[in-house]
Amino acid sequence: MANDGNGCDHREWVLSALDEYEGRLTRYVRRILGDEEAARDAVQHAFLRLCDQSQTELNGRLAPWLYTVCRNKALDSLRLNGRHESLDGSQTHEIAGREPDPALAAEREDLGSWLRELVEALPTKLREVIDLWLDGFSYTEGAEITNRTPSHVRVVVHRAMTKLREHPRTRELLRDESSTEQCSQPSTM
Amino acid sequence: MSDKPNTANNDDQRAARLTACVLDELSSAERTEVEADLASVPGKRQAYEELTQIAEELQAGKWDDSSIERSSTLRTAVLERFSETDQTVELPKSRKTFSRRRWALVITISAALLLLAIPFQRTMVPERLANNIKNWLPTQAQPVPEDADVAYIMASPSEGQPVVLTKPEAEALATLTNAPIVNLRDREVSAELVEQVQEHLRQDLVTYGDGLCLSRAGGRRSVLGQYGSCPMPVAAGASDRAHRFERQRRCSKRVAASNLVFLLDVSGSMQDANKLLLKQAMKLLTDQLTENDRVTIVTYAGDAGLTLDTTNGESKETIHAAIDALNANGSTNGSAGIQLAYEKATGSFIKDGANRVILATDGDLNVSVTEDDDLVKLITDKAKSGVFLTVLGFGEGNLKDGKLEKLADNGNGMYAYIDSLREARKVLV
Repeated sequence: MANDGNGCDHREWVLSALDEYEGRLTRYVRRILGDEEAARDAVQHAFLRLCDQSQTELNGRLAPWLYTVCRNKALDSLRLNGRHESLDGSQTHEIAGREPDPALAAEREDLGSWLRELVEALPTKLREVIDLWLDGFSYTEGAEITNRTPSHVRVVVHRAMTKLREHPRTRELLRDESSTEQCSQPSTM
Repeated sequence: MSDKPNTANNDDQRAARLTACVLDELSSAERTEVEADLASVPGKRQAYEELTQIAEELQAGKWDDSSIERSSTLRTAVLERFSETDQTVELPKSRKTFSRRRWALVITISAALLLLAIPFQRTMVPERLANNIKNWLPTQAQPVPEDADVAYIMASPSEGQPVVLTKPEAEALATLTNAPIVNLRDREVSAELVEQVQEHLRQDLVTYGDGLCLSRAGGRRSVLGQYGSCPMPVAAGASDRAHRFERQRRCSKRVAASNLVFLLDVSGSMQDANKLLLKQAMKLLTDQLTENDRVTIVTYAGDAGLTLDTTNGESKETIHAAIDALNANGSTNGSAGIQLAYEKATGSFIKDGANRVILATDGDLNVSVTEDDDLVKLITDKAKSGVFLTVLGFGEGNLKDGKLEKLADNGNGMYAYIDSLREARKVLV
């Protein structure tokens, strides 16, 4: 057992981490695995490991640590199921097949809900970095979690954002919003 | 504005700064540069604003995690774990047996997982990727020219796009990473092979500037890599530059020693600011060297001269003193300098090491570079013997890129353009 200091303090620390991160982590892993039960398993694995983890060693890096452990666990189970590809580089070509339904696209009247739709359709690799950023992680932390370099994360986030921005429906909605809100600034697109 | 989803690698790092700026992930220096771009580059401002709007919308629509039920099983499991711990603190003996048992369990499980994983890995064939690569291969209408030197292919780390390498490049890369090479011509791209290559590249390559650069976590990067061009279309609309893959090699501890011969332009045209930059850049690089490395400095102005004879990489003071003592004078005689540099490089050749002639110049080289030129022949011959040429263009503007690039291409090396210390650090360290 690597826990230092008082066992009671340590327990409180783990329990408060549980309160704070269980939901976020479950959602995060569920989005990788697409399966609630498997996600819960990975999260449980992470928290049980946290029980053996020294608080001082983590030194304020609790959230990235938890995400990293969860992600690795999730990747392990993907590998065991022979679905390892879903987080590797081969994703670019998948997006064509996972375009959001055009009928659905037309229904999304506001930019926000359309973007959420579109994020769901992003390849896992791109979606993941957006998720992490929305979860409040900096590029550096995101790099640590996804085992990349920060500059690579920077590029991947950029690709993801560019994909969102350049989708025809996004362009339409952006144009709509700018024409209703700022008539003085017509779009140049 | 581009509507191509796969923008070229070489633009990515630069372009990515815009998004990074929107998401507030830039250092203040980079932010200033981006802001200058916003003011001057048409369309940038609009892109910036749209990205900001998208980021805000995403932020606003963040998931509500409170809807995810807390698992009581998990809480119980954690509490149980702690009660186990408490007991074991009270009973040290049982703790010992418990932890030993636990370790045995962990080892058994990992061994089992490993055994399970092996057949899974084997059967796990990323057919789609293999198909993508096959599809990407030139069609009947566009056969690979027999004399094209593009013969090898690797999958790129980030986007699953194949990277086309020339044969020497592929071989160089393969020796560095132990990555398998897939021959483009025989068209038998086996899925396993692709996956192996991908796995290797995923770990070893990151995109940088014009292309790819090898990196190893914790490893030091000192030697510059190969450069080649691809005569075939990679993606519709991709610029010619996109076909050019610059590879930088980071020396990890496993990589053998470096034998570096600096060939420095100290002619009058090398301006003070550039010279200072050159000195700083060289110090950055020499600081990375160890006792296994060798450094030689050859200068050329009116006459080619030996400023620092081959020196052990550990003797940093000697090297720094030689760098500090560099003075600009005379006109440029590049040809003689290059010859002397190659002589020195051959003299201190390190077998299996990185043997480089690093030419640093502002581009005012008094040599003509043509295919049948003696100089090019020399460089090409020496490249075969394992001494590669790296060309660093220093300074802003006035740079005869074409000539330098041609030299580097012939020397199986790479060309980089350095206009700031930041750039120098990126390329050299």
